Amino acid sequence: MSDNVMYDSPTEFLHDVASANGECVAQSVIPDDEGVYTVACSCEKWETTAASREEGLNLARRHTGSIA
Amino acid sequence: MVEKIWANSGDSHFLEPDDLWRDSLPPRLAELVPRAEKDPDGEWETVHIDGMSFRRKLPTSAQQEFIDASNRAPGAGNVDLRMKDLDQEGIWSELVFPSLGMWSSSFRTPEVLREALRVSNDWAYETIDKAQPRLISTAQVSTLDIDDAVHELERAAEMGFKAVFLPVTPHPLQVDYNRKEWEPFWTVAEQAGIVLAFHIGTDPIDLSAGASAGVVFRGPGGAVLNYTETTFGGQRAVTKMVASGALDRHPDLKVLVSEGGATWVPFIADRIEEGYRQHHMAVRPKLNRTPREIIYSQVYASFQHDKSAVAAATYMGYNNVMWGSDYPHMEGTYGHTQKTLHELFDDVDPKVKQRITVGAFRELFPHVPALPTA
Repeated sequence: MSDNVMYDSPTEFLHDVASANGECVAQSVIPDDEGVYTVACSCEKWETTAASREEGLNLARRHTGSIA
Repeated sequence: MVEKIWANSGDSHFLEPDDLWRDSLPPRLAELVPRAEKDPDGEWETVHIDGMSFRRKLPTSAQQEFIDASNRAPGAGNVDLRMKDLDQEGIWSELVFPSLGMWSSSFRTPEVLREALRVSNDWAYETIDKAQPRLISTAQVSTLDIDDAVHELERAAEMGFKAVFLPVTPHPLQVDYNRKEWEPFWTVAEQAGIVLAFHIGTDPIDLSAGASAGVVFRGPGGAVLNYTETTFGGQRAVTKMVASGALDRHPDLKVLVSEGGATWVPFIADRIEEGYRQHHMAVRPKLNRTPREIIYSQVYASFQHDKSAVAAATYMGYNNVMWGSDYPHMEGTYGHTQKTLHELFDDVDPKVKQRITVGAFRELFPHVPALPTA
């Protein structure tokens, strides 16, 4: 069977994040009305902005040490 | 030999094909529907939804165990295999909720949500309802745009749907169910005889507000606090429908709250009556029937394991208690349905047992085939 995250509900998605107790387990990349992307982490200690979604995701990957 | 108990289920789920929306929508819309992709390192996964992205660490072994348990039923996404599971478990007919549609509140573009749910409805009716008359799938509508919801409900009624899935709170960008803007939707549902099927745990999470949105508990007890919290949304939805007069104005409209237990119904009727009586000078609108009359005649509630749910029917005069399996989810009864049904009903008045396992469901969905006689 699929382990696709889409078979979790968004509520379960957030509960997973909450149960990690402030660790770096999830990041969001969300545009504002001006097209600037806010990038934030579940650790609640890191937030920045990016010019594009891909740049935001790369910043998130760098934050978690996934890329150099 | 232990007698097999057959029961209808007011709460089940189907896993749609992963690519249902992406494969069926035009490219400019398909680009915006939720999709998940894994990072090359295999440790992270990113979900893209309507211009937003959410990256998460892939499940730990404990979480993976939960996911595997939720998906372990062979018929979770296949009708033929599902019927074998249901026959084995003793489940006759079931109301089938979607899986992908649970992400509706995360869309931002009305057109994308409207068209995605249209695709889901066409697929569900063809694949589930037409293939197997024992299965009743819930139509889906956009709660982001009420006009879209009304039009899709009219279309779903013409197709033959008997129920519509509603999240316990509308889309975060839409007004709440107690507001008059929803009146056309209630009117269409009542006239078409479509059951409003609220499922607990579907409180909209506004992901655009970041990972801390929604009611989420952290720290000691967090897992139980978060699970228990999901049950309250159904109670709030019913309270809004009663207090706003929606159910009073539409006496033929039926509401089902799935998976939320049943003992809360007499409780919430008590609370609403108390408020209605003690705050009568401030109460608007006035109702033509008592809140308890409205709730007991129009609201149904499904449970899977709760013994007190049976007591709600036996001792509290609430007759619309309905059993549900929650198939194939891990909170459900798959693998132990017969054990559960015997524990719940072996010492119960046969009339109450018949009502909870069969009758309440057939009252909402009288067209389903009759149960096997042996």
